Amino acid sequence: MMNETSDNLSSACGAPAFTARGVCKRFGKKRVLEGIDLDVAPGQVTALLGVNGAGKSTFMRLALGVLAADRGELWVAGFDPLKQSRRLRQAVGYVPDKPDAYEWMNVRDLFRFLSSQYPTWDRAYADSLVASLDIPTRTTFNSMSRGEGMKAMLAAALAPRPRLLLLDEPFAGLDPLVREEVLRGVIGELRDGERTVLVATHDLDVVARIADRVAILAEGRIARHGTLAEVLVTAHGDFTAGRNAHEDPSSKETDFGEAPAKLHDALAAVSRIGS
Amino acid sequence: MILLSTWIWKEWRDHRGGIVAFALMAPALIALAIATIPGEWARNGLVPTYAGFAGFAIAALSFGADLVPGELRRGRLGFLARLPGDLWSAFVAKLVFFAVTLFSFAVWTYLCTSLASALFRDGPWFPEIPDKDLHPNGWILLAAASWMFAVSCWLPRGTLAFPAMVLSVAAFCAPVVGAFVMNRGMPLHAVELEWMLGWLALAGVLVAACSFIGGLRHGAPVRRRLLWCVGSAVLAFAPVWGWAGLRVAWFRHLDPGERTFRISACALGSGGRFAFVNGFHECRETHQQNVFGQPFSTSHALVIDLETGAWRRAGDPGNVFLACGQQFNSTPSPYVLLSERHHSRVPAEKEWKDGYTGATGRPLTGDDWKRVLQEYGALDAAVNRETGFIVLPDGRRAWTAGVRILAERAGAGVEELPCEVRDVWTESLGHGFGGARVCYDCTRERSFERRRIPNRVKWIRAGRWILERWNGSGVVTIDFALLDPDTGEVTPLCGFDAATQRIATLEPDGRLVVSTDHVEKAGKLRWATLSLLDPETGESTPLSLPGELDRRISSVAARGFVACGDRMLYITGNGDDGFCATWLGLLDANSGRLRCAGPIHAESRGLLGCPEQDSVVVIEEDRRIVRAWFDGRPTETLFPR
Repeated sequence: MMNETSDNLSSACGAPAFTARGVCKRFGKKRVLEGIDLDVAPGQVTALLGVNGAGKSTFMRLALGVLAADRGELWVAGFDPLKQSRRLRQAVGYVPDKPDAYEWMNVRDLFRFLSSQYPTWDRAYADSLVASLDIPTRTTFNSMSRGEGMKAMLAAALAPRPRLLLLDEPFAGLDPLVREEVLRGVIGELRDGERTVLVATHDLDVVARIADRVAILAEGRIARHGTLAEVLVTAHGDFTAGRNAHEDPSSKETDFGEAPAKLHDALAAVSRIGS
Repeated sequence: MILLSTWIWKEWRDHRGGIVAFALMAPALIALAIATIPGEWARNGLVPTYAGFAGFAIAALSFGADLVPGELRRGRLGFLARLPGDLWSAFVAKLVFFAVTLFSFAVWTYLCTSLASALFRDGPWFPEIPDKDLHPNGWILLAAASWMFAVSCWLPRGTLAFPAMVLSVAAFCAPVVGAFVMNRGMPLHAVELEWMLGWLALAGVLVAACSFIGGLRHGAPVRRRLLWCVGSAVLAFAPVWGWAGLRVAWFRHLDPGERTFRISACALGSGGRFAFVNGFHECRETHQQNVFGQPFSTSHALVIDLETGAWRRAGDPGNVFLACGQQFNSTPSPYVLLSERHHSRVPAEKEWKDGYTGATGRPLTGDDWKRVLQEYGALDAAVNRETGFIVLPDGRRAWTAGVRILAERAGAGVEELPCEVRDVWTESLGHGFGGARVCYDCTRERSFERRRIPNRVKWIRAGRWILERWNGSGVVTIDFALLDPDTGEVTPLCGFDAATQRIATLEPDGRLVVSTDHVEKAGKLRWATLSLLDPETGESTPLSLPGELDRRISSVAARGFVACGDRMLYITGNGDDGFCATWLGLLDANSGRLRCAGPIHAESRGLLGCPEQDSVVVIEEDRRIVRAWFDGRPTETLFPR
């Protein structure tokens, strides 16, 4: 899969940090992804939106090389997820939807276990993350709250200073206060603007706050992809076209304060109409 | 290395509770067991060894079965799979951890048991582990542990690992077991068993690696897991199946026309038409020697029609003929018995498989068997009648049947000789039979102590015994003396300065032909002599062959000879220079001269018999049956044609 063009692309300035071309995946007879095409530019935060079961987590696992695509081409941080999985995983940080470290581990154990696997592991940075996110160091995952666990997983994903951060619904199931803490942790890491982030979520508020671009996944394909404003405009059209076809979508002014609600409408419309 | 140590640390943290608990509980439980079992058991040096095996098995059951299912059960596979180390690192760490745990448990239980035995019951300190107990038990445990680990990678629960291991190993080993069951005579050598178990142990690791890394990656879909688990197991067992198949083919292979074919024993049936051959294929010449260094294939029993050269296999591969008559016998056999396998002694009746009529080459029918049993009383006695008999001065043939001594005059019935049962008779001596402590003289119907009889005893006519006394060790000299059992008088005869190989009695005058091998330094045989010994006078007359053969016999060692009839001698010689030759000699007993009847210029070790007056049937070069003529005509190959 790795060819000269791809090498050149990935090394060139402004080349996508994440490229998917016609990626398909099915489990048995169930087709989950049916030709995903997606480019994520370096330094951008792209939100992958979709209803439950749309295939967001599957796509994330494909990107990490944990699953193998049935068809299509994937380049993540310049690497083939299957053939160069070790280098890819060393360059990519991943936060799952729930803490899945060993229950007997505390955050120090987790860092000890992971630090030998990441050449770029920054111990001081890891310590600072633990302090800034207020993660208990002696509590095992067995005794941590879900929020504490998610913050520990976030710190573990960030400590190697990855070029690409994959967040697989990390805010799901968190109470508002903890979600805010985790969100602030993510936002704090995005300040330098050098890190590329692909975040799968259906939390529209999060999308509105951190995403530069939004991709909506529906029926196994990227139904909409663009900046938040572009998606809102086109999505609003879809929504109103579906609800009230005679209204002119361009007459509506885009209001980012209402973005979550509009995104919700857009998501509903895309899911209903399809791509 | 750092990466691996971190993974192993993870495994240790994952299982340290169980390990520490075992390490603490084992000494107490072992001490309790040692204190309560009977003393002779507690002091038995094998107990620590088997305790070590038990520790090994406990580790295999406790940890090997749950290393992988534990990850699946707790949902940690996704965590491991997305790490840069991938599942390879996880697998290697699990394997290393498992191996260390296995041997640590074994050593710990061995040490605890040994210490407890020594401290509480005066047992030995750290007794040596016997090799015979370590092999193959250690290999069996290692293979079982390895496959437990392998099949646990296929399963969601560790508790299923043991029965699954037993079932899968049984299923995959079934073709091998079947091959050996269906070919009963095919032996499974200990070294082969160890190789197979060693391969199983290694294959278990390979299958575990394939199942864990290949089967569980990429989300572990069922089809992928099945493919990797079962596929790798099939590939792992394929060499064992192939080996078993080759083993069967090698076991059954029989082609007398091949250069590798050899005759190990042969008997000529009555009438001289049929030969009963035990043959095998020698592997050294064709480099077919297997990895276990066995130079021979299995033994095959063949019935050969010497008139046509046609042959057929008798029984199954591995069966052997044991003639009711001595192997390499000069006397044609009326019956030939087929045994399941080779025996160094007369096999029990249940081990006889079949019998053949010497004159027709056909299997014995029910009536034939009845006749054989009626004639001989029992089969082992029948063998003794033909192979271990003596001829008494009055012409009766006598032989042993258990502790009884039977005698038979030609054409008359069998009678039991009165003898006091003091021993099991093991050999024929003089005019009687010898046991471990006493000899029985059939002519005088009395026993005498064995310790009075030096070395070997040969019988001669006129009721006297010839004693053979060996002097020295290694290179020995031989003295002959006559013993008169009536008076106990011993008369010295003559001596030879070499080890006697064979003594043949020439009937009817009772003179002996003595073959001696003269030995030089380093135990090398240098030359041989033939002498005619007259026990009446004690005179020893050297026999000589005329011309070239006379020189030959002085330069080669006479490995042996057989008297055929009353005048013919059959002599086989082997030289250090590779020279091998066989002579047929006609002895003029009156003049004491040996006349060359016909040389066979090839190694020939077996004389089958003299079915006709002008020729003999011999085995040539251990692979052909030929007819040699007394008048010097070229030999005629009878088998294979």
